[in-house]
Amino acid sequence: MPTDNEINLFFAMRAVLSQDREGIVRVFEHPNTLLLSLQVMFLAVLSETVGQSVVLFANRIKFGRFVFSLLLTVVIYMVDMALYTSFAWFIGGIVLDRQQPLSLLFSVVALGHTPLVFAAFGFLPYLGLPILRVLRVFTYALIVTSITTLLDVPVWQTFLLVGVAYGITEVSKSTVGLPVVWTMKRFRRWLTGTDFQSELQAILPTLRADQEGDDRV
Amino acid sequence: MFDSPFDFIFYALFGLILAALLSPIEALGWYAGWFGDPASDDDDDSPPDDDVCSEGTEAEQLQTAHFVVYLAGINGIDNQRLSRFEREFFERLADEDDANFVIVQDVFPYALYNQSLTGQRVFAWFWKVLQRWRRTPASMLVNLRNFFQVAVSADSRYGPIYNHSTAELIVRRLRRAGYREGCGAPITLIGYSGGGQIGIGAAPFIREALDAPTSVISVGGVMSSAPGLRYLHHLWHLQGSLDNVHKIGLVAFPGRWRIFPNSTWNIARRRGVIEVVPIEGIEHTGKRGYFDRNALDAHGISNWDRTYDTILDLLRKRHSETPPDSNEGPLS
Repeated sequence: MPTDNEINLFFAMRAVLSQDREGIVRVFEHPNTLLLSLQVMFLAVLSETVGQSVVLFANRIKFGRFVFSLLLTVVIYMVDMALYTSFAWFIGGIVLDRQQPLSLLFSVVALGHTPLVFAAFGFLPYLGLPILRVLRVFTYALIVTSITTLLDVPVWQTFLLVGVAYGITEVSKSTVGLPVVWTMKRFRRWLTGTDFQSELQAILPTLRADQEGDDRV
Repeated sequence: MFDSPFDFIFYALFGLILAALLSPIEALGWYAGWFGDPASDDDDDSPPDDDVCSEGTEAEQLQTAHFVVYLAGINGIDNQRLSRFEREFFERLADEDDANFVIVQDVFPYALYNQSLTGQRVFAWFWKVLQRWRRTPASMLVNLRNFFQVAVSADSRYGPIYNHSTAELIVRRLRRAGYREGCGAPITLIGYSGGGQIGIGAAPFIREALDAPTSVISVGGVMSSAPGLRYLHHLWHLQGSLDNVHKIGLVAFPGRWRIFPNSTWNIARRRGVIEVVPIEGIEHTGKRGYFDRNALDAHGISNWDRTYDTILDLLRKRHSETPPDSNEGPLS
């Protein structure tokens, strides 16, 4: 059995990826589980952002601002995920009557992001996109099964929980959370020095014929 | 240096993945403005000595001028070093009497703005060393490096950026060779091996920039089901019966699989935009390759001659298709 000192970022990632039950239990028994899982999530999301950084290039973000833009994307994602987990925790407690500490649920979701540590390979030409897709499916599957185990509910209830929490997060971002979203956008614009557009297809070089919907073949 | 063969394999794989990961940086960095406008031999924007499109009446121009751009295979290190057989190929084509073929063959399609691998680059020293080892297996690294650029061109995220930049380079070369926007003279890109993919990627941007009907002749090309196929006048795909390299495209790009009938490739094939031109007994490269002058068929005709005759026939066919009063192709 590893001691608390031996349980670190790499131990946690290895345990999750190899689905080592004993190892995962040790990670959750660790006094700093939340910090550990936050580190894993940070690394995973940073890796995914690098894998998808073509969006930053396509926005013509200058070299000096690039790293800050990467970090900001990671922070925004993590805040988004914290909000989302809070809603899932709330619904789980009220509707499904499954009370678990919020920090524990967040740790489960954060550790579920472990496969995305390899998402930087999404930057590979041509093979990158399928790699990213596989890693995302793996991640979603891991998060769903982890929540199912934690809350001890059927999988369909987890799907329902995850779906409703996602819906509420999106609705809140376009209603009560709008000022925060707006401030974030302003901040991102200031940081990147561009009118940041997250839809890649909208900013890549296109043919006039494509814009006019002219499909010849 | 290596304790075991596994060490070597590990480091080789690590290097391979790292090189692949870095391969889109050049195009993306250029697009983001990180590298400015790379210094190259292409900076000279002086007007052409000979405006081919402006000679004679409009009808005369259209009946004679036909611009042919050669995009070499992935073993190139810059835009100067074509093989002797390739050079002779285009010299002979330029001398043909029945059509005024204007040849543009100084395009290096695997780098931005024609910048050679040994030019002003961080790893220029490395490619210079490899240049000295051209006849050793180490030179395969050049192929690998350029192959990654082919993958960048085929990628749905990086492709539009890479192909746009390549098209910009080709357009500048065409203008320098005397092409005038809207004059309607046909443009045909001849892409050998990976050059085929670069050709179908860049062609629609060239067509739009110059308002010109643009076709591609792929010589054993490794090509994806690129969206640009929708805007091609025609794609002829020369396919040697012993050429196994072009089959990489058949396997690696799902859009070319027959089980996806609605892919761009398959739609274009059904509509006759893509035409496969088989050539018997020809391999992809080297001895018995498309440009080999020593390999002879049963009638004593060399591979070089058969490839030449096939391409010349296609160019003539393409030329005769262009109506004098229109710059539009059949699918336009």
